[in-house]
Amino acid sequence: MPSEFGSFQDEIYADRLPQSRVDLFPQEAGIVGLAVARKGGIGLALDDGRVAVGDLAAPAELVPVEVHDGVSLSFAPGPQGGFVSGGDDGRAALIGGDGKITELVAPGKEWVGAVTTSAASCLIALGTAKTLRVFDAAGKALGAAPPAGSTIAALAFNPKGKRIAVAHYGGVTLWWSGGLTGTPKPLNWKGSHIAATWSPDGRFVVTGTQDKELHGWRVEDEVDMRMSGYSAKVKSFAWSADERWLACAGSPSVTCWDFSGKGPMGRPPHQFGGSEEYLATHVASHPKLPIVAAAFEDGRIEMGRFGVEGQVLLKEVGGGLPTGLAWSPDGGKLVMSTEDGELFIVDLDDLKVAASPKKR
Amino acid sequence: MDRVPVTVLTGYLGAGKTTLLNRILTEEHGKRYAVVVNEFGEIGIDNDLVVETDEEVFEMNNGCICCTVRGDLIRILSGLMRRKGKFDAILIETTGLADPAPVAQTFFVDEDVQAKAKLDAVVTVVDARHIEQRLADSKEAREQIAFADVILLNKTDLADEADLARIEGRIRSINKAAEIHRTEQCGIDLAKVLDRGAFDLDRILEFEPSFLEVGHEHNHEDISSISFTDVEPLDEQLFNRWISQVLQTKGADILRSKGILSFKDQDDQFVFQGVHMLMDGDYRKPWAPDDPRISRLVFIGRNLDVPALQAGFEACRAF
Repeated sequence: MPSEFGSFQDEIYADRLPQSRVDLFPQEAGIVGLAVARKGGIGLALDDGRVAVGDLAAPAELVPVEVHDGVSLSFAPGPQGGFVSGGDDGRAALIGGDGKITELVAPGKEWVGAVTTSAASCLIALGTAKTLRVFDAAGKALGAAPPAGSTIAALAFNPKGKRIAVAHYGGVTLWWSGGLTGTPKPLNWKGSHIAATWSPDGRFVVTGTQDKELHGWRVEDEVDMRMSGYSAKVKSFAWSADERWLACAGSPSVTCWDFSGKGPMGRPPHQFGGSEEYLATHVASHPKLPIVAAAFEDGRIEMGRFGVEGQVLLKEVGGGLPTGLAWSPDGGKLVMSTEDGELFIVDLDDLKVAASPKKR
Repeated sequence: MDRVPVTVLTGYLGAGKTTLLNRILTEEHGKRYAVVVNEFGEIGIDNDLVVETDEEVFEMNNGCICCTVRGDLIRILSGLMRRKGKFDAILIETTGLADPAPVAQTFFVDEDVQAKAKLDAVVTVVDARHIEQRLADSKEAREQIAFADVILLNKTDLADEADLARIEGRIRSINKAAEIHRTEQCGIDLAKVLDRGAFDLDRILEFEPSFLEVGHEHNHEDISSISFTDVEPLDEQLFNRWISQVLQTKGADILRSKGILSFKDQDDQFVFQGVHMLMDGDYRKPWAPDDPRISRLVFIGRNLDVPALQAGFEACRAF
């Protein structure tokens, strides 16, 4: 894709990037979930059921607390700090930045497979098997929806946190989050929908499917969108800071769909990625700049710029299969966790790029 | 990383699946199992890690008309794999009425499952006293035999030798590639049930080698099996093209296909298996230096067009 800015590598200070530092903080157990809290704390779900919490500024001093008699299946930053973890022991808990545990759902036989939170509405949504449950930021239960027709695979709040998209077999159901008493709106599409995201402008809900496609709906009029060609299931999405682009993992190259104007239909995506063989597993958008980072199966981290050709290698191959990728709230640090228990922190403190190209 | 072996236990209600399951869990073999059951039920299963499932059968949108998978198994297996090092193998018990195809297809379709788990064998427990009636009235009972790699002909104390021989004949006419073991209360050396390795393909090697022998007996079952052997090396490209075309067009009727193939200029055995339209194959181990290199192929299914399959297979010879 030609750009008035030239290539990303030229633009992004080729002389400066080698100075970006990658530090390793190995953990005592494999890491299955990673989240950076909205105020800068870091949380890791470990594969022995513990959750390690601490400060991103002191990653060598994370403190593990016992949470699950089993393992975390779903992990997210809390709505007002801390973290929420749902496990295969049926337990869901809010874990404070200080390690204090507030139980949301007591252990039982229903796995807690999906969690999402909203800073805007201060709500927590959980999927326990087929049941959607909503809690406030203090952990108080606000309501539960009647069971869905199949297990809830993923959840996504709208930008205001007033609605929740529930992904399951056969499509998505939109619930009004306050007490879950309103009438749900079904958005049907055949197949199993396993990941979900709501666009930051509130107009689109997009899912990743078992059939290795993206499916999208324009919420206003339920117009369907389909984006196919992925090598694997798309389980990680990231919207650009300027709300225009949706970056997706699931292929050897990161695909970025342009949602400006009429949306992505009929437009080829912008793609970047430096390997033909290894899939991108996670994508994460810089909180302020039009930049997206991607973690790959071989442990690489690359950074691309929405709509601009090329990419920059931030971390070399190695360290195990990525299990999480997140930016610090100020965008100065990029964090990646792996199955083998390695936590990498890329220091990018004075990262700067020009403003996004004009909308076409 | 080694993929975790998964054993699927099928069998009609009351055949003795739970007995076998408990035998596996209580015998001394030094292995830790994660168990996936349909219902915790009244019979206790004494194991640390038991997961209850709900048989969510999902259709795929991949254009394959018979392609269904078990959404719950994808989720459960992916979830279990997060508990690294907590178990060595997985047992999945299905209900008597479950169709085995979606279970087996899950292992072909889902990349996360494929990366971490492998289907070791489908083990079907059959009640010697009731199986003939079940075969007559139940499609599921016939399919569970068709899908089996290992069959336990159980409750043999409740049938006489003539019955057992007749039943074995009927089982063999449906599925000639499975191993059959006679058991009472599922008493069996567990090495014959567990760790069979990829659908127990070695069984195919036990067929008597002969030049392009076609084994096909007329029978009264709606499902039957045929096998082909060939001592001539095959052309890999021709075979792949042919088998893809066969499964694309006839896959709805072909429940299982398996083969060990000798390709021209290849020192390794090519091992192939399929469930309906889905297939998977790779080079597994070298042919033994002294053994004749004989390709063997088995189809288990309905309405098998034997002359067409035979002609197609013959046309894969390398020249």
